[in-house]
Amino acid sequence: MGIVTRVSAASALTPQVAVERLGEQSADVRAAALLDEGGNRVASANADGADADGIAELAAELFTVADAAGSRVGLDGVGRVEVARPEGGVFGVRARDPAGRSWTLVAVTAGGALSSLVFYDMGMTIRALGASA
Amino acid sequence: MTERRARSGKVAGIAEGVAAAVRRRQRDREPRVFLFRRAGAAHLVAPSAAGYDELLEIADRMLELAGEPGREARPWSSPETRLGPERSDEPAT
Repeated sequence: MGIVTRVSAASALTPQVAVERLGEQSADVRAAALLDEGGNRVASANADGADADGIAELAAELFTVADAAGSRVGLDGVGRVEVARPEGGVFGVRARDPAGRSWTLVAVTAGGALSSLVFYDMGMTIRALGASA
Repeated sequence: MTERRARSGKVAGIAEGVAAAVRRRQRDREPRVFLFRRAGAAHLVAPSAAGYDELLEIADRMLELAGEPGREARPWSSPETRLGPERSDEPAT
């Protein structure tokens, strides 16, 4: 389960450090990837054996499909996506950091992860990126 | 007669309980897809809805890339870390 992390304004995290910290602090997260506004992978990290680079490639696709599905039901501006399976989950967050930069963060978790905690940890990761600006 | 009716009622109750448990188990095993607005409101994507299958397929590919669910989840590392300690642009935390 996720561990609540306090991120102070003085924290200075690069994208890579922020993503690695997400994995270290959230026991359920098995791999994570961070994309910038242009959809380029800027950081990824994973538990041993996971292909974080491959996951990063799929992250943009996840939100493209989510946007299309969302707009069909009047849900413009999808900010978060969750796909839950018994064997694992996929979580995506698209948000701006305090410095105004837009990020897409995707995490793959073990099954049964509490979505509220995963989303909280992911949100804090994006916030921490702004602290380094 | 009353005893037989009571027994059949008991059996029916057990059968309903088992059926409910099976339904719960099946429901728990069904994949769920949620989309959230930036403001936080959630939308459960129905299996018949457009995009459901595609989202599930992408998620399945990601889960596959993430490795076996039961495997040891540590050590946590990045591709850069695995390549060696050549990066010097990251501040110590």
